[in-house]
Amino acid sequence: MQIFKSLLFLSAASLVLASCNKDDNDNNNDDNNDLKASVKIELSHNFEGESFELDKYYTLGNGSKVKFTTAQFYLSNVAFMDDADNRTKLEPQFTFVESTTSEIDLGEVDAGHMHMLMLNLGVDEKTNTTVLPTDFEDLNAPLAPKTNSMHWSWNSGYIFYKFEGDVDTDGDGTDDDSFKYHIGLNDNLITKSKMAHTDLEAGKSTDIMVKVDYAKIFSGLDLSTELITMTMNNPELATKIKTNFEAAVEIETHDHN
Amino acid sequence: MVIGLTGFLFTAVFSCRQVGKPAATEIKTDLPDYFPSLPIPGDNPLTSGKIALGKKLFFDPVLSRHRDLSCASCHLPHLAFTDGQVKSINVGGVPTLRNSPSLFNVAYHPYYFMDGGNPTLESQLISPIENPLEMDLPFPEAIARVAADPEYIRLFKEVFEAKVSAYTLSRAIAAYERSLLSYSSSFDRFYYQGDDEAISADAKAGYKLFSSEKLACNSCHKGVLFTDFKFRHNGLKEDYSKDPGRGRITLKKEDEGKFKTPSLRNVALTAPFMHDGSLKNLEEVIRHYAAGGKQHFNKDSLIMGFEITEKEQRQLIAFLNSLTDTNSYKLHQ
Repeated sequence: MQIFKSLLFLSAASLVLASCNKDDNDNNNDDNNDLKASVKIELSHNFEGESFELDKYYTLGNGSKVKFTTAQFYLSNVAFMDDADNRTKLEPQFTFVESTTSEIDLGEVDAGHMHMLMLNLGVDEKTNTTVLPTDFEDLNAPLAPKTNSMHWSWNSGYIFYKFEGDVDTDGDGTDDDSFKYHIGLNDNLITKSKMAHTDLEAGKSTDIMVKVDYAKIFSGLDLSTELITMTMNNPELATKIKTNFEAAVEIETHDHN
Repeated sequence: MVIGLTGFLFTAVFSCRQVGKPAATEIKTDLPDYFPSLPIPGDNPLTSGKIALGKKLFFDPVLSRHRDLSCASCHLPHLAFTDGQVKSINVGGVPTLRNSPSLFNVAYHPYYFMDGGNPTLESQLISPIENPLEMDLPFPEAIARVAADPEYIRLFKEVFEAKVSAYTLSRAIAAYERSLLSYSSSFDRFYYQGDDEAISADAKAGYKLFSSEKLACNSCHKGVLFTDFKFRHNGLKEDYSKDPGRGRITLKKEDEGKFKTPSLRNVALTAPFMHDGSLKNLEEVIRHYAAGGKQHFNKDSLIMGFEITEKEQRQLIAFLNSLTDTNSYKLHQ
């Protein structure tokens, strides 16, 4: 019985130690850097090819002008698969992307073949239902509360992508309306994948180009009526924004010697 | 022995997540045996220092945009932490969406807000602070303001051995709110402690009516907390387009117009009533239920209407008055 108790205690202590040291184990880097390839995401923000910035007017095909005052989203869970479908997850798991975010360093991975690349726009279901903004000590953490908040004040869960701005419907220089698209809920998580067929060569860097064309967010929208969705109050419009944002984001890969 | 070991594991595991160490010893909540034990999350043990810090923050207008509203502006201790308004008035003088709910015994709620939109006491406070219809202050700015105050810096260090953060600020206020317990009403002394003189004959008759098959109020307002915490449609309105209640969260038609059953403890202090504060007093509430409510496809099948005499209504109100706990609110003034 005494042995049983001791074993129980040791198991318990191991569990505790394991849970405390999990992060250390996850970050246990291979010292052999010769076999490593570095990976980063380069973000390009544009509006139909024109450089994108907040508070600048852009003209849509119908002559209306739009100006973004907010354009931000979560880019998360970047991973790639090799030809044998082995998945490699890259860190950081979450990045809070604003219109000025140009690069995300994904660190080093084992050199090898990248068959397919995957990433999410938004926050995965498990995180969205278990992690809360008030869980963070560091306000710079991607999922910590933001001044331009990425969570709702009246509901739990994160806003995955958020676009706000003004519309000058007739292009006469006077704003006629405002748009607010706050999209969240698990059904609106966007999963993008790209057949990469790229070799991650040891000692070299591979850039994943993520291009966002903000003009596409308005594809097929009637900007006289389809102006506001907080997701729950207008799920139909939220679905349209999801479809449009998915199309607005394109992924490419480039190798650098 | 197994129980002891489990206890050890529990303490050890949450020591991995806890920020710093609480400076004071954990509080032992000495609740009467008829009251449920206090649910305390592993990463936020109750300490006297943390509760005091949370109380200071709760009453401090620093957490509102114009520094003119505190949590206590809409949750006044002498009104069982409600405010007596139909709807509270926010920083810009605009009414909030709903009537201010009582905070007594919020520790026992399985989810927060009348629609259950937030899962924990620790996380819900971000809502009133940030909501433009309430205190209207971005949470990072709230943290920055508190973190710039030397007195708060000292207190957070003392309580958490850590700086002001989203984590510590939310734990402090939640600890205070979790300490807002109410279990010492006249009815408690009568029903749970056997003091036959604690309530009047009218109140006793009212309790019988409350629990009777005819009124069946205790079908929803049940147990020692006088609530089942379920989302129910009580037939208050026909149109819920301005506030769909639980339906706003789930987007399901079958949840439209449903709200969390409120506790009736201290109900006499919390007028006006209902999620929108539309019923002025307990007489109006009784008339609403007696009439059977308005027609709506989600109306709860328990809302069927009943006949009640003036004497019975007086008795029912005498019982509801006996649920007032004057000791608890005095503790928190």
